[in-house]
Amino acid sequence: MKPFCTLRSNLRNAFLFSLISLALSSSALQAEGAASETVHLRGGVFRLTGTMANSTALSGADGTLLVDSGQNETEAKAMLAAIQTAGLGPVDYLVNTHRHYDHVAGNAVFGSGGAAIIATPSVRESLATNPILPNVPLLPSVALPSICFDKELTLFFDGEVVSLYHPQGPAHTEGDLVVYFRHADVLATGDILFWGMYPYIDPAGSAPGMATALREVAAMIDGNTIVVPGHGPLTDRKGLLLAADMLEDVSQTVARLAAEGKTLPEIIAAHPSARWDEAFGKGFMSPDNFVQLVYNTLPANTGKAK
Amino acid sequence: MTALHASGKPDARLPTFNTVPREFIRKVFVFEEEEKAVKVTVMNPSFGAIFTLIVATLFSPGLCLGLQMKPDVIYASNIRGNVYLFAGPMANCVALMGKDGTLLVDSGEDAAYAEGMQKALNARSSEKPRETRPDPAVRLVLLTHKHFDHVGGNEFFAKKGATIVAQENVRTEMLDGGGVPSDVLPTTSFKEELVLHFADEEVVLQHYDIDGAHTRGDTVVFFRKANILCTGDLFLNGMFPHLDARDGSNVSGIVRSLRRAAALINDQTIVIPGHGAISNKKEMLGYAFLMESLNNTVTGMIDRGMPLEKILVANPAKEFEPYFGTLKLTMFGNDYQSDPDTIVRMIFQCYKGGASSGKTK
Repeated sequence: MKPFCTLRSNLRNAFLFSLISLALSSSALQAEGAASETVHLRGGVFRLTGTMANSTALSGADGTLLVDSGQNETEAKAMLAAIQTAGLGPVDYLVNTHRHYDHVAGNAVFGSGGAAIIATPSVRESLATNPILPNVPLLPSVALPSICFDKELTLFFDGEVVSLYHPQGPAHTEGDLVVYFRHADVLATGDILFWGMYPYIDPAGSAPGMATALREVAAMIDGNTIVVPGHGPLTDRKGLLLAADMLEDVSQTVARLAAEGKTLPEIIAAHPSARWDEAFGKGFMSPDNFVQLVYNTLPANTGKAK
Repeated sequence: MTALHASGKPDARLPTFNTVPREFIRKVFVFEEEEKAVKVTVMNPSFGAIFTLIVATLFSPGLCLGLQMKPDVIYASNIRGNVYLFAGPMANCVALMGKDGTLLVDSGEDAAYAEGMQKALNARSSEKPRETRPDPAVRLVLLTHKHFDHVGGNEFFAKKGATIVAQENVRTEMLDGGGVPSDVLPTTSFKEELVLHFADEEVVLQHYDIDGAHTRGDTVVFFRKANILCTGDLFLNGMFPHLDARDGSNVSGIVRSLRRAAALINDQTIVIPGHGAISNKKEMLGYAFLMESLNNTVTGMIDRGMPLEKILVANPAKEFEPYFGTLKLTMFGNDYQSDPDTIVRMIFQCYKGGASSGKTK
């Protein structure tokens, strides 16, 4: 079993989680009352609407495979209803792209319905020992991943070849995975990619790590691939590489300024992300908050309490 | 049920516990010395293990594999915790039973045997009190490798809803066979490691990224809580390794895989070989060590340009015969043999067949 990074600072996470929640819940991403619908993408692959994080489903003769279970059980039940309404088969597999609450909170809904939950080993380890949000109980055992793979897992399901791949990390967290539906040519990235907004970065992750993971994943796909980011609208390989460029550029600039002895407020005042704000700065994460996150997750700063 | 023809029997002339010929051990080393290989210092600490191995193999059912079982009586022996062994007429299969279903390591040689295993599981389940009764329905089948005596029951269990899990090369190799019904193929394929949490047990599957061992897709399955390791055919208790150039087999890959697997386990671990009696870490490593010595001897002869005929005359595996060389059986019209000539032929063919079959260091 590999070591994994526990949440370093509950306070900081509480702040950041609430920041994400507030920002996203006021956005169009989350429909109040959590109604969900299936939208066909290509082949047997669907997207589910009405959830905070993007969920993707593969459906066919063997049943349904779902990627990520929503930010709470209400969202999970809405997705389950949408899957049933669309006449898709029972959910046999649930994949967690990483351990954050907005991707795993609905696990019990599907786990108790008989789905086998798949994740990287560190996700199980984390969910079994840490609450997904401050002051909430641990997830029940039926919500824990029961199939944990190290690097690569391939499912032959519904006539589709589903590649689950753990890119080199830490990236967004220490245990991210992407799901690539090979025949349909659809890639669900989880939160190594936020599209149209600056991303959240877990204290265990880093901006350069996310860029490295994105480039690794970019090699698996081509220009025709539909890319479903963890948050935000659909994009493609170009968008994925643009996000990698942005992460590299901003983290290099921030690292250079920090090496020159600049303090965090001075770095923020220098607007190191200025050239990317048009494309990424209009989401839930303000450019200043993003620069702070990049600064906090620089290798030199990850040990410091903020 | 498949007819088995076993022409080998435990040899009445085999030495007993008190008369294990010390020269057996010595001669292995003498052979090494003759090969100018400086191995003796490494070997000395292993005497105990080798001795244990020899003694154990004397009493091993592996010696008379195919004679032990009446094919129509398929019995699930409780090994430890909720883990059961089917000591089959062919491969050993292992079951882990829990309240949410049963996990099986290898599916047996054919549908009839699979059905027999299912009946035995049902019987095991029904003997438990109602409140703790496990569910005998097989949900997961984990394959140690692609050979028919380990995958023959796939279709039977898949049709009842089981998911078949294997290393990714197993699926590729099975597809290469052509005309394989999809119910037989693994539907979940991993590369190097997979961990399953099933029936309160942590089940670790490991494939060692080595260029061929028994096959190209060998997987060991370790039940961490029960402390039981299933080796598949990397370890055949009481038999020489079975090698096939088409499968990329080589002894050095088998030896390296067994040593990697040994890192998972301890002296309390029950080791279940692919064929033969249940065993332990010391015997498994002793087996690896003896096979490494034999492989180095034979490949050394090949490297010096000896033709197969001359190697057979030199008979480098002769000393192993009483312990690994008494098996001959016919399965589905194919002869499977474990004897000194056969292992030398196999090492020769596989060594000639691939550049990867080097000596182990």
